Amino acid sequence: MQFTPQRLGPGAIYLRALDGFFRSNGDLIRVAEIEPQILWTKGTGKGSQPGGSPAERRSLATLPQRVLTHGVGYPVGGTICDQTEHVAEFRRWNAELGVAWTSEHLSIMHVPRENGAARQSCGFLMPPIQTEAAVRLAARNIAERRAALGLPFAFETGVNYFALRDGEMQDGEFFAAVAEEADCGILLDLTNLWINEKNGRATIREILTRLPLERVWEVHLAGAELERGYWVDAHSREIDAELIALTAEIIPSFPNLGAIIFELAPDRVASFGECAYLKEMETLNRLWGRVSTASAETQTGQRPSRRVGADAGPALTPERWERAIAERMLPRPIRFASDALAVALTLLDEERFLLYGHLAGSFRSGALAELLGNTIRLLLLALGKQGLEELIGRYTAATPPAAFPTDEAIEFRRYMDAHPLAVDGLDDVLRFEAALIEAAANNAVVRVELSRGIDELLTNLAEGRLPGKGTRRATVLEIGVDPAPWIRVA
Amino acid sequence: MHDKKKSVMVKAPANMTLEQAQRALAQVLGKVGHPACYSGFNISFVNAVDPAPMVLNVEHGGSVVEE
Repeated sequence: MQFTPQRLGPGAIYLRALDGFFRSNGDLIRVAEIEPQILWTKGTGKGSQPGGSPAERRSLATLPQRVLTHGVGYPVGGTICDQTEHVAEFRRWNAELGVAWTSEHLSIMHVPRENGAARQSCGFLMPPIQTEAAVRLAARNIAERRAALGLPFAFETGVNYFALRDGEMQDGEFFAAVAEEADCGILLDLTNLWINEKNGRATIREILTRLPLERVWEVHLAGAELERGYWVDAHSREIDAELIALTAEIIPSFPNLGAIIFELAPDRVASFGECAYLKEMETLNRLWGRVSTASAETQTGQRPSRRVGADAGPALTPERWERAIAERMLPRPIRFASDALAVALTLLDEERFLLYGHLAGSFRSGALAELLGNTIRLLLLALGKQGLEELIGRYTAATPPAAFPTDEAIEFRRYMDAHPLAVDGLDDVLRFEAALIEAAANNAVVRVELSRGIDELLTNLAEGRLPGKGTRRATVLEIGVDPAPWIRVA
Repeated sequence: MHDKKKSVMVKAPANMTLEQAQRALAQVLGKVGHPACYSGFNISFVNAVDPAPMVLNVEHGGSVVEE
């Protein structure tokens, strides 16, 4: 391994809502880790590819921080691993932002479908099976991604809510094997590993005894929370004091550490607050003060080469594991006709798949709440909370998840068109919000015809009133986003 | 010591005009990207169906000092 990362320092995941905060705190936040895909837009047309805005890239290039990129949506742990569609745009972002290295998740997002039909997002980052075959698969994916991006590459150690199965490699052994086989860096997400430990998997200390520590280029830290009796990686709050203490103890053992990054989820920013955020950055700066300045070369080469283990056998292959994921995470209409070729699941697996389904469902309903806020409000007023949740449940049981929220919202509109409800104003509100999404996602001017005035409709909803029959007055609106969002009555 | 702050409960904006709809469009623009990389529970839907009332701390004279 030739690459030795520069010591960039403490930083955080960049969010649009925090742009001003990043610009005014360049002393505390020294690295802006950008997840390009969360800033990209995917058009609503069939086959459209997601991409970002050149103006936003130019703006990001003026941040006072050094920039790293972290991929989301195209993980490197599965048999379906995109090396073409998103790569040109990702390369463009890396080049314009002067990125020194990049990273992605050692996870699975897309699963196969019957008869080789188009790949399908399973709606959540799922862990790979930990076998020698999965090591070879991930190493091949990483080598291809690194070549495609032309940058040093690190994989992120993921969260795994399942229990270790018979025939699987231990967590540390698996991460070490992938890193060495791919000859790449490790983005050590200590929160993920801490959560795994709290949920009964290997301890962080056990994992570290097996890892090639000189390959740890970057550390992620975030807040966790309990959900349905499990610790989950919610990026929701401050870093736990126990994890900070453990990090302070182990961080000097990473001789090539280049950055330590705090993560906060976009849906938690408003409730977290600026003071709490600054406090976390102060913590990261203190932790960074403990990073060893010893030369990496004094510690590399001390570990023996890894011994390749026996394959786990035909019952536990990556392909069979992905069929099991498809079987449990996709709606029944698009599952495989038979699960005979999937990994056999235990009762514990089934229980954990229910957790994964619950978490994945929260992202789907969250996307609808964020992009179709007035529609959801109207349905809540008309159906009540239970009725609305049942409707969302019927929708998610009938349609597969989409990687981008715009696709989820447009799919929900199609579902509602096919399953109409007798709710006054619903058709107009849904048509209006779908037009907003179309204009935003396609950067286009969209005309939409409504059967009543939008002011009255939205005012009723904002005041918590059902619109009622109201006065019918055909209204045509034009909606656009260039150079700034605008709506006018045509 | 005289406490200058009092709490005001705000449930929802009193009116939603086309101008506010434009702000809603701006918000949509900010949320059309891929979800960020975390494996927890997304609370956006919960917030939509069970909105916690916001508390504004207001000084005498009406200027908002904390939101």
